[in-house]
Amino acid sequence: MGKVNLLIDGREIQAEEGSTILEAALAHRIEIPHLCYQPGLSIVGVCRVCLVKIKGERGLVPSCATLAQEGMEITANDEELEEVRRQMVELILSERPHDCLVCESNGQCELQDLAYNLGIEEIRFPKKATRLPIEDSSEVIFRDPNKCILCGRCVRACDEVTVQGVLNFANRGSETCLISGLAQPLSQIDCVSCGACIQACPTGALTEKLARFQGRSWEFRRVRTVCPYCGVGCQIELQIKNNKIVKVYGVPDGPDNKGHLCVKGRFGFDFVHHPDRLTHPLIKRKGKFEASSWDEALDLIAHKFRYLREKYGPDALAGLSSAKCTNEENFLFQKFMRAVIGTNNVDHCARLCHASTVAALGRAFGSGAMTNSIQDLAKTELILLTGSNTTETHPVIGNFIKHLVKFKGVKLIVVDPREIELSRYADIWLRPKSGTDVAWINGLADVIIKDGLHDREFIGERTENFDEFDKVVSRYTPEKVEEISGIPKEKLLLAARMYGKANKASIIFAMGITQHITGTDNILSLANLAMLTGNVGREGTGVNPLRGQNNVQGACDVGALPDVYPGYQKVTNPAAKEKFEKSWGVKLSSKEGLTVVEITQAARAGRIKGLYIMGENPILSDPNINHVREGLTRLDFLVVQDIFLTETAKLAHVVLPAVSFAEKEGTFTNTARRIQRVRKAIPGPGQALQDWEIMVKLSQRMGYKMKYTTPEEIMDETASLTPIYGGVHWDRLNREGLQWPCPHDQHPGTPYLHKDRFSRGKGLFSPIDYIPPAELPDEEYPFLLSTGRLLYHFQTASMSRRSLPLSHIVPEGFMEINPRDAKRLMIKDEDRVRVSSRRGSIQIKVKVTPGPDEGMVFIPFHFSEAAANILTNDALDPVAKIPEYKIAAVKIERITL
Amino acid sequence: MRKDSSSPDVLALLKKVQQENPQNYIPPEKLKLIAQKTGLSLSQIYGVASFYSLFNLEPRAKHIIRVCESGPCHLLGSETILEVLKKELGMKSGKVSPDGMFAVEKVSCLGRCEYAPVMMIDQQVFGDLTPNKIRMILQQYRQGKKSEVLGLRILKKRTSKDKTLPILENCGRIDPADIKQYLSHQGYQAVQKALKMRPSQIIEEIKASGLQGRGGAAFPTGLKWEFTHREKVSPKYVICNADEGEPGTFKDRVILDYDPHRLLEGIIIAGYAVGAKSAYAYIRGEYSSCIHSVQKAIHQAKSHSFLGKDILRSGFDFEIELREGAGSYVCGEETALIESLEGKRGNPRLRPPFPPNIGVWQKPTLVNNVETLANIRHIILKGPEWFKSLGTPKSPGTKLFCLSGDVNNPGLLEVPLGITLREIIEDWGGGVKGGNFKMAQLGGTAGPILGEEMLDFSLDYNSLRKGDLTLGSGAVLVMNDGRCIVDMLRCFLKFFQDECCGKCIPGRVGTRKLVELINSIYRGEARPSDVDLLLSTARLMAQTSLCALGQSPILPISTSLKCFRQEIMEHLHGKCPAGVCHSRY
Repeated sequence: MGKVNLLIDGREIQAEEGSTILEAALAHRIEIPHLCYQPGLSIVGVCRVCLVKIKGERGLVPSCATLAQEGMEITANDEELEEVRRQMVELILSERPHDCLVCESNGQCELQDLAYNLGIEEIRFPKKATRLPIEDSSEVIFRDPNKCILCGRCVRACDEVTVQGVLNFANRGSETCLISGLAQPLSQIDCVSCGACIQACPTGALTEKLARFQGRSWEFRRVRTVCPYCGVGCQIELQIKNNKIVKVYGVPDGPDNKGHLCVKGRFGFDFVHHPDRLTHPLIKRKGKFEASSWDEALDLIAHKFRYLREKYGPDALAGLSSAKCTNEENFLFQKFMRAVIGTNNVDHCARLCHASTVAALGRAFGSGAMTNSIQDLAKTELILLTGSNTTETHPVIGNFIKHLVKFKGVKLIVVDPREIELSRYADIWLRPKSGTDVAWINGLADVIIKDGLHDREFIGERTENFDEFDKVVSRYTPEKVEEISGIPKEKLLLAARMYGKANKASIIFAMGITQHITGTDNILSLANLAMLTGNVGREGTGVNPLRGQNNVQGACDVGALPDVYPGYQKVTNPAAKEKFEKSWGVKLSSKEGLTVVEITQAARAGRIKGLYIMGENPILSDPNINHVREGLTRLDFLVVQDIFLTETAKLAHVVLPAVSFAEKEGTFTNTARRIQRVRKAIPGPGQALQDWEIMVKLSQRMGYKMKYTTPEEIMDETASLTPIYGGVHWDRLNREGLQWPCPHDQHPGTPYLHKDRFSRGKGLFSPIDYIPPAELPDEEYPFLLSTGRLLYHFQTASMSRRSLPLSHIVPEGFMEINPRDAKRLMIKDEDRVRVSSRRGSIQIKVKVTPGPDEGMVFIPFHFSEAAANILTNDALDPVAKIPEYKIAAVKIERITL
Repeated sequence: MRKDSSSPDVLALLKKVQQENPQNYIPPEKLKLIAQKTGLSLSQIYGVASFYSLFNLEPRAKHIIRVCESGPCHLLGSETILEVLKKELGMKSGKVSPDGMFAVEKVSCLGRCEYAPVMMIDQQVFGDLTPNKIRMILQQYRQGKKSEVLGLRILKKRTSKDKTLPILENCGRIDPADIKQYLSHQGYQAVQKALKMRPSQIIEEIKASGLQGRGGAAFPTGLKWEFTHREKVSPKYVICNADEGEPGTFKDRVILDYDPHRLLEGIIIAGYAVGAKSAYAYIRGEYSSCIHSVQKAIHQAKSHSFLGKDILRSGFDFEIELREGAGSYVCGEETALIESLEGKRGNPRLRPPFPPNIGVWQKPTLVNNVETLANIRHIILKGPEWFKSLGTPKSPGTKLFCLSGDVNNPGLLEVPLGITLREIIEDWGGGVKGGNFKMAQLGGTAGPILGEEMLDFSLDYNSLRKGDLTLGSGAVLVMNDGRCIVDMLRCFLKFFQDECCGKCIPGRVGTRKLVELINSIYRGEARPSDVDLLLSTARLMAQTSLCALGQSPILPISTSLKCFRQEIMEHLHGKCPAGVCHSRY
């Protein structure tokens, strides 16, 4: 990008070529008043406040819509312009009955600032504006048209950022107004409650409904931190008054979210202040919890753990770490299990979501993480998206994909057995039968090879084992793939050619691919496809798993896994073991530990006697809950450390009160391998402690000294032992964080992996054959059940169902079923049904929607009273030990009242 | 999701649904269907449907009566028409008659000013209305239907030694529905000749002719063609702007109705010259007779191989697609027209980029007015020198003037540029009717108010420009000394408020404030400072508005104040010298 020189108000400045006069001025801190302009949104030039004069040109021009050009001489501020602006703002003020007195935006209102700066004391127009009715039907958005200046920033934010198009102008001329849907209340249309409109509004016309009268801008303390929900890692600013979080604001220069948030991130924070929060340790006596002191609780735990270890050996104990906790806390947890207890039985929920990804991408490429970055998608030509309902589960990325398709011409291929929002945006939507992924991916590869669309040079120079792979995929002809997957061969051909011809193509996937007994195979196949077309190791390409939790990537990175130390160093590797033994000053076990599902299965079998769970809720999250419950109740001793008394905590012998993301210091690593700072914004409730503090105290009692005074020291130790985190120090993480690998202090981090060389050297092709799922529908259980998440809830919903707006928007669970199946079963919306599998049964409300195909139903797993995981199958992928959540056979019976 | 020329015609879909509805409106469930079909969101389709005045989103009635309230009709009694209608239909309040048969609405200019006052029932226009005629029409509608054919009102000069002038040469002389008659009058010979020329040669001829855009802005036509021609991007488009909505203007309607093939020739030649393969003719929705006439002409031209593939074996392919507007004055602005054509709200775009660079579907687009394109045929056939022999050296050619208001013979006339107002009124219009000359508005509602002292001023682009005036569309609205300037300004300013798109602040808020101010003057409630505020607000709007609409009110306001300040100021004391305004006293 070139530079242009221009003169603004006598100042010589240099601007990026292609920037507007306004952008150039603002970049050099030359103030030009403006209202309808907002970075990141399209330019409309309607407020006419930013008008300037250009020497040699007639009249006034909008600086927001005029390109800065070499040699321009611009007057941005003089008396004439000030008078024009004064009259313009007077016009604005005369249009609606603006009133700052009790306005939520008082003090952070762009209109108020402008009126003040221009000294507008009087509105000369005689007729006063009449009051318009308020729109407050939404759970989260409060719209006051009396404060609206019709600048359209909200309309553009909804259209261009969220790409929902809920808002628009209606009527014309002086009757112009803002509407949603067909002039309907927000609550009655497909508003996703993301609040992008609120963040875009320059006045008090759109505000946070629940924050009304809770505080004004100057009363807030502001803390920049990271959203605690999914793996996108949106940077947020907490606005706090009297130690209460009142509002959340998307940080505009947050590297992955660019100011955008979803409903959970912006409005789902009130769980932090929920009265259910645990405030002191609990010890169960005679089946009832009693409050205790920290000393008593920790002494008891230390005693029990020591006792069990002595009696049954260290491998009779196990720990479940937490993808919700920080890197520092996860590091400490695995260190506690390995160095203090002496076992590798430590795992966490990554086992349930992306264990297969970590295994497969580790094997094919050498690194088990997203190869590229989120904003890197802007550089791709084509996205192949499979097994990810992105707009619900990673909304900020989902919206970004919609934006790229709608506004940037990026092509989209969606492969999903369910009709999802993104399939409406897709150029091609393939609908395979569930569990046939290896077949269709091999099918794509076969077409690409036969059409000569594969990248011979890349294959030759950068990969190995291609011939073996070619032999296998050549059997997956379009005809055979159609037979297995149900994808019409014509559509497969189209998709293969579209993917094969793109110069840069990015594969995005999530749990629809990973949660199968063939999860590892599925991802190896995707890796094959990317290598086949040379789509690895460049911008805008890659194989990109979307991680589900705020810190599931980090928890893996820092070793909360049974087979590896921090940085994916094998416990079976003597050199690695020696390194950690030396650092930690104890002998370590060289035996790989048990995985999540294996731990509960072993507990059920009586082999695991004691379990320490930090921030996990397996009673809802794990497959085949009835077995999990049996396992947990058979334990001699169960400790649960959490912020709420979760379904799992209720089974514990001791419950320890921890603090939420807003009450702790540390780092999270997002799905794009970005390590970002989490900052303590408010004190925790009662006696609750940060998880790392609890572990320090506990290990002391177990006879192992941990000398950390801050989590920063834990990160320093992590960095010293974890090559991919080698250069990660808190003082480098202030704003945009660092993307690993970051091996040393001067390293800038790595936006995309495998440039020039794969982490393992050469990329490895894996010949994979299709294997059918573990349990398919039959006569007795004729429906295929798939499970997953919703936009408005998160995981086991211990946070989201304790958020007022989220629980109001979606108060209970439901089963999605196709209209044709519903008709056959004679059930309709809101009916209740009993859904049963071989493992159990639940009662649930019906929602009829074309989402699932005929013969398939979908149930979100968030809701304990209708827990989908009572039904799911705990059959495991043999390599990654991930359960097959996405496929179980069920039957459905109508409940007649 | 991606928009291009293959995208469905949103306005046509909306129009069809409304026509099929017995209550003349578009119900929400139909909006949902159209949203699905077009890939728009609900709010987007609602935004479009609610923008255009011909669409109703609430139930109306079997018939919709639209009473024109623009300048010429206001002058000649549109308020009386409304009163009579409401009385006859037994309407006390609301918009629908108690029997549910008729809905009554006010509407901006219907473009039949030579028959003022007029109203439109559904698609049919009735003119020269009197209370008796209205009663008769309603009677006949209750019994079945009535149609009226408004005769052609082309004016002849009193001393009629005038030679036939080119634009209107065929009007009234040939049957527009019969291409053979057009062909026997040198029809399509210009196309034949042009297709043998190089595009750049044609552009040179148009440039040499000095033809300036006849829509109102008077931009040199040849230059516009050249800009579009120069663009390397393809495809390119030609748009014929037949969205004639300027109050007092009806010239394009006469061409569309009576000589559509002349227009098609102009479009085809323009397309060939700029390198386009297709064109749109965007005709305002109120001109249903024109829509039929042009549709028929396109059909005939196709069957005679003047349109379609390989026209006259020249290797040149060209198509013209007809698009209908749906009731919006601002869509006459070329970028708003483009937005409307793309099925959006008719909001003008920011300029630059200009349509010759980035126009419809983001492609280079030539937008020319009907009258402009009607001039192409004779420039090609007779050459630029001949064209320049008409008019003044700096404003060559003839111009259509639309004479309306207080004159004995309202109608359309074609004269060489450089004529005076006095000549138009006396020699062509048969003199002022109902009193002495007081003032005239030139070029439509956006035009200046001219007093007596301007009667002998030369009406050509150059002279007017020097006096900071414009010829605009060529409308001439004559007002006698029984008319009040405040009453007329009120009518003009309300028009801007009703027709403004609402996108930019000076346009949306400014037009409203002007109406509020003039109303308070009209009612005798204003302070002297309000008169200054009226002028300064209009000035601010002229300086800052995004499009020409917001920049327009300054001219009628400033010229009125110049000529009639005294009369306006008397209103502040509750006096209307002409005795028109309702005052407190």
